[in-house]
Amino acid sequence: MGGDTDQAVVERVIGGDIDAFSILVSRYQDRIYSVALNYVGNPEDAIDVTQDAFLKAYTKLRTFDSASAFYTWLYRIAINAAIDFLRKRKSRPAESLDDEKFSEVGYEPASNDPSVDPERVAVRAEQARLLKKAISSLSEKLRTAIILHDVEGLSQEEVAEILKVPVGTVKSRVSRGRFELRNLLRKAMEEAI
Amino acid sequence: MNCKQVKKIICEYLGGCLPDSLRKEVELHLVQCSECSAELNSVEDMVSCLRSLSHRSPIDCWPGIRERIQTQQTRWFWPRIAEILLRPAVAAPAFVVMLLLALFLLWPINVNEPPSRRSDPGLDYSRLITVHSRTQQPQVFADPDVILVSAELANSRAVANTDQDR
Repeated sequence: MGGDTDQAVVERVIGGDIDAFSILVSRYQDRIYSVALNYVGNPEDAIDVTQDAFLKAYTKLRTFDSASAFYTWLYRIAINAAIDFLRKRKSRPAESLDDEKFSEVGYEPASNDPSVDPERVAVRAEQARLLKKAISSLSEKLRTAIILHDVEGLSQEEVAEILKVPVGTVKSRVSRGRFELRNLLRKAMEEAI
Repeated sequence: MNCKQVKKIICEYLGGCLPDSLRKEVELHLVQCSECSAELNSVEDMVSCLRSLSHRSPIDCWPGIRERIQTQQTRWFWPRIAEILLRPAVAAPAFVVMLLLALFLLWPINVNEPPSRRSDPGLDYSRLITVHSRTQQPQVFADPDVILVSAELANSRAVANTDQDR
């Protein structure tokens, strides 16, 4: 059951087996949540966006083109859901990305390996905190490219398929995004000192 | 190529966006310049740090999603039906079918209408039918020929009766 391909599961859901959709949720909820969290900035909203994305995917499942991969289609829905969420939230005061809540599920846990330099771990944690803030300052296009390629580790080809743009455009956006992040990070570190 | 130029395109270099000639120039500069080489390392470090921003969902989202699917299905049933019915592709043919059905049901059809008189212009059908209607109980016309024959017989009987009275 769990070994079914995405396409087979999609057909089962379309055939009326609602619970089969839980297989797809279980497979992709971590990836979608991660994208949502890097967009909206806090875990509660990220859960809402994740659920919105899956709900939209469920209601539009009949329009899914089996020629493309299910997860690229799902990523696209999730990105749109996150962007919609941010637009709706614009009227409300945005929560700071370095809010306490972030640290609850926050950074990579510090390594227990004694060979790891604690100072370096602390610097990296600070860098991660500043990066989260910097990502939210990027334009929508650059932010999406950075989140999908650099944070989620998708290939340039996968990102191109998700965003429906040429691979060259993805390369360019990732490079520009990194350049802007680098500048924002440098500026934030200078301010911190 | 100077340091300012290299720093400006160092992310493009890392992302593999530069044409071969420019990439070779950057590589040549990086071998000679420790400052730009450190800048490259710094960008690479930032990229590896970005990867650490990926998170796992703290909860299983399925129960919440299932609940929302069920709520949506209940809440959206009638609005969804209305939405489907109001689509032009559905509404227009449905309207035409209903109009035709209404016309068919309401069209005034008089089943007692006399048969066509054009079949035999030599006979005075109106008189025959008048006589017939006087002598017979009102009935629904079934076959015009049968009615005409009945009328003729009734007429001949009436004439015979009149002759006898005289």
